Amino acid sequence: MSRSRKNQMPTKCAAPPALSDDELYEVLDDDASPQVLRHLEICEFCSERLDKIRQFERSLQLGLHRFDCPPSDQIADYFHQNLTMWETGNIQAHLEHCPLCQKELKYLQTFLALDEEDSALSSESISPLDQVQRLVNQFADQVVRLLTPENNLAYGVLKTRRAQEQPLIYTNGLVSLTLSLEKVIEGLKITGTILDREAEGRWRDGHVEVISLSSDRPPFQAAIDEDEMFVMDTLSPGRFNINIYAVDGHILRLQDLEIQL
Amino acid sequence: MTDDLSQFSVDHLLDRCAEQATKKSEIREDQYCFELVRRAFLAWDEFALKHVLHMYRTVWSKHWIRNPHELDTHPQTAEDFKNIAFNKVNENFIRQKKTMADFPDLSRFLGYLKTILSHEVGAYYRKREVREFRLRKTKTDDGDDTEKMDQIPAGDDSSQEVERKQIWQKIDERVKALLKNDADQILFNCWIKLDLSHDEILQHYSHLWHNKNDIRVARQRIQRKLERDRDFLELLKDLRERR
Repeated sequence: MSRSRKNQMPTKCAAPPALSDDELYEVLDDDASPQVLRHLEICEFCSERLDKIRQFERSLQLGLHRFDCPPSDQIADYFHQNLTMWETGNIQAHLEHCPLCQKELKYLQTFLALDEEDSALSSESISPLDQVQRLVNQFADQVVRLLTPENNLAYGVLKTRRAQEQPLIYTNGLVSLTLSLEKVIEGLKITGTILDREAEGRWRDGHVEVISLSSDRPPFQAAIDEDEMFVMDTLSPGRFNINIYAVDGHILRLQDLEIQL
Repeated sequence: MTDDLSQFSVDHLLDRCAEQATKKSEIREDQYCFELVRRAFLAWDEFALKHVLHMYRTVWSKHWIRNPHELDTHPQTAEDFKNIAFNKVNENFIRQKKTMADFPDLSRFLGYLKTILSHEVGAYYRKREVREFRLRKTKTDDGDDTEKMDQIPAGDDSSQEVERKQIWQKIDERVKALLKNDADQILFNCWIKLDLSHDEILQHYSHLWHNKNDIRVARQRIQRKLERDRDFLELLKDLRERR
């Protein structure tokens, strides 16, 4: 359909009789006959009338689309039965005649689990710890990787550079952690470098936790920088486990590292 | 004997938390998991937070998100929702200064997490639907955009939201005054507010209209009434100015 941009609106039909309002609405609904469509191609008067109807309909729809639908949060709260009786009644009344909100609720139902088993997490009668236990097991199976000392040693011993020429390397074949130790004023300083052959950059912005096995003090913590290195400088000699956490949930674990002067 | 939980490491708390799962409910102790949550959100222990974040992200994906593949064809993934929802929980704790009294036990906290997640999913769906609707309505038959994308509002400009709601209320009242026929009011809702197709309208209201032509005739009648009403047109103009 072509439109010419003349300064004056056409005042009469180019091919009378002019199209009826019914026929114009048929065009809006894509139900028009070929004759009606041909008429519009040659008649600017009827085309302008059609445009006017279309624009009015469009301005109504754009301005009023779903204006009295409840906010999406309320639909979600209704889904979780978190509303008062009065609010629930209002939502139910609205849902009865709003297919769009019905679809939205259906989408939530499809996406979010709310059957008896899964509602355990929000139910007081069944402990969520069962879920946590399952999670821990899956967690351990899927993303926790144990690193062991290179050369298949039973456990690693980390000494200062003066006493140990080569850094200590822990590995699992795909990921390796190189550790070196030096004496500083505050105590002992560990520098660690992670090399992940499987996913470069995975460990950036992660963090490290060093847990003492020989005392009850809280773990030492350090952040991993963008070069996938970390520094921890207030250690004392002893035996430690080390956990290294990536932001995507992967974990590296070293067990029983001995740090000596 | 009551443990001093503040002395335990995050790792130790996780072990103890998991250990409780094997016990019967009468003797189970929730405080270890709860301490993890407390440290994460209220003591601002960054490492506990990251640990709890990971712990409950996986809980969501395994037990709360039924069909993550549903989102495979859409821009945001299930992982994005989890990230957004967890950040929202974090923000709420800062902004609303939540305390432990808000969560007397762990299950309530997990319920809260789940609610936040569903809010994010719902909000995403609604925004997507509204955006697709506006894109549909702002194209001409020639495929040109009559309204540029950057002029289409996000739909949640809170600074004008109150005024818009007041105008909507007046429009609603004016429409009810003009369309005294119940069927016309229903059609106005279906056609204008919900942009349903004729087939969808017939599916829901076959007792009111028998075929598409009936609907078309009713639409013409409604549109003529609205076009000729000066008050209604003024309200519509006001609404357009606040978009």
